[in-house]
Amino acid sequence: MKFCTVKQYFDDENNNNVTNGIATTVIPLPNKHLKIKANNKEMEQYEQELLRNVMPQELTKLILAANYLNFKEALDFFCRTVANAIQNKSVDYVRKFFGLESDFEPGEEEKLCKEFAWSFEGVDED
Amino acid sequence: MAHQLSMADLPYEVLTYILFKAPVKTLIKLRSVSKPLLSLIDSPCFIRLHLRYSIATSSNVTVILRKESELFSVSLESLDAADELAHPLMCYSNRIRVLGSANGLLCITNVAEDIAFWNPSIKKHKVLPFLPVDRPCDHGMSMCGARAYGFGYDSVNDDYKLVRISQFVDLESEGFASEVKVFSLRANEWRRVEEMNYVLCYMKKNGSLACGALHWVVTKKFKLDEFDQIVSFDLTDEIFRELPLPKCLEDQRVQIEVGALGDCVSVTADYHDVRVDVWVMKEYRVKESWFMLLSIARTEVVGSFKYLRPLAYSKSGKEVLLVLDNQRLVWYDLRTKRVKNVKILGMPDLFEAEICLASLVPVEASRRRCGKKHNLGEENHKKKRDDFLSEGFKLVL
Repeated sequence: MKFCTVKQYFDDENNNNVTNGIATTVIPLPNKHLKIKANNKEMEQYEQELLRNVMPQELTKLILAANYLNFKEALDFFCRTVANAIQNKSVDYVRKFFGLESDFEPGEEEKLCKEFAWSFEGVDED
Repeated sequence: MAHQLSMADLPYEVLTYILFKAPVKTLIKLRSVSKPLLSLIDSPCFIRLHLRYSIATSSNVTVILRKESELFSVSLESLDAADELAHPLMCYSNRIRVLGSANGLLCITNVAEDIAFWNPSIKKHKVLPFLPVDRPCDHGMSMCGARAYGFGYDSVNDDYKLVRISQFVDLESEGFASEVKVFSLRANEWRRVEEMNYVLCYMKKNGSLACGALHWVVTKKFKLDEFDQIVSFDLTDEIFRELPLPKCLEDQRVQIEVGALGDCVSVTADYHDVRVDVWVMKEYRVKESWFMLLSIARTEVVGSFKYLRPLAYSKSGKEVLLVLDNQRLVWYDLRTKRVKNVKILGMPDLFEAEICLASLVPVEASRRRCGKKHNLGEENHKKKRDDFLSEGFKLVL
């Protein structure tokens, strides 16, 4: 990691949302990543922990931080976490998770769901 | 109240990066979340980038296993359980044959000789216009020797093509002729192209796709003692050319089969009771770039086998998935030269295997060519991003 970029990140006015919490999560990441890089099981556990303790907003901040810092492994990891989190979930769950609202006309959504009904199979309870 | 960040605040590039890591089934479902997501996932640019990402990172690779009328797909990364696939060419018999695979599209045919391009990941297909059989007498030959197909992608014209080679021979004169026809998805029609001046060695083997061309094993003459060669058919200029073999395989009495590993041409040389070697052509059309990937002695680690075919590299590139006798799958470690048996839940006892990517590629010619010229691609990308951001990714306050 480039420490000058980190300093810039904190100095940058646009990043008012950065709190110490984020710094303490993102910065130890390289070390943790190196330690658990080889061990997939531990990564999975860490992932589960992350999902339980971290709200989508926090995860968003982590992703934005990793992206800004050009920290590829962390970005990769967080993005994969999000992808896994929405995998077997309903459309409504995904909307809540992403902070989105449906902007479809009344009939449109039903039409989509009908055409690709198979893609909604195997969805977990919300 | 301080503005709370939500996923909606993620930059466009980061969002697509997240989407690339989701399976295709999830992406199809996400189309129903909102209009911007629908137009993003359906955009030719996203589809192309998703495909490129899958190829570059060896993700979304599936193994298709076929036994008679049953088709199964299993993820290459996990090789855990085989999912049965319902193909769209059911007729009086459900027997199906796979003619090739490219960018997530499969080309399949049934007993009634209907042919379709099919993307099993998005469950869309297109049946090709019927093509009558070519006749040997039209070429002054007495019988049909072989008929082979090849399916692939022409990247220059952004087109998917199916090639059919009808080979005719005359036993007395040892003469031969061929009729070659190509179906283009973009043109939506069959066209006759130049003849192939070689004799196919295998009666029904599909062409192997690598580097924008299809490959078959052939001989120069219709004679028993001819040496095997490889012929390539370029999907863009639609011309047949010879592909040089590795130096030590040239003019040798060894049975060869051509295949593809990753996007490279591979050749399997069968020394019968002794061993099987697999060669890979690192740089297309460069003879010196052939290297021996692996060599397995018949009685070695693998246990006895009659027939071996390399299928794919593992995600790390350190192992190769081999098909043995169309009955077993094994991982061969290139460094340790050890072999690991693969047990897939629900796998048929006898099968033909094919690699197929899970992709969003539609079974229709795309309206615009996106991404071929970088600025055009970028323009579309930017427009999509702007539309996407402005169309109301609503913020959570």
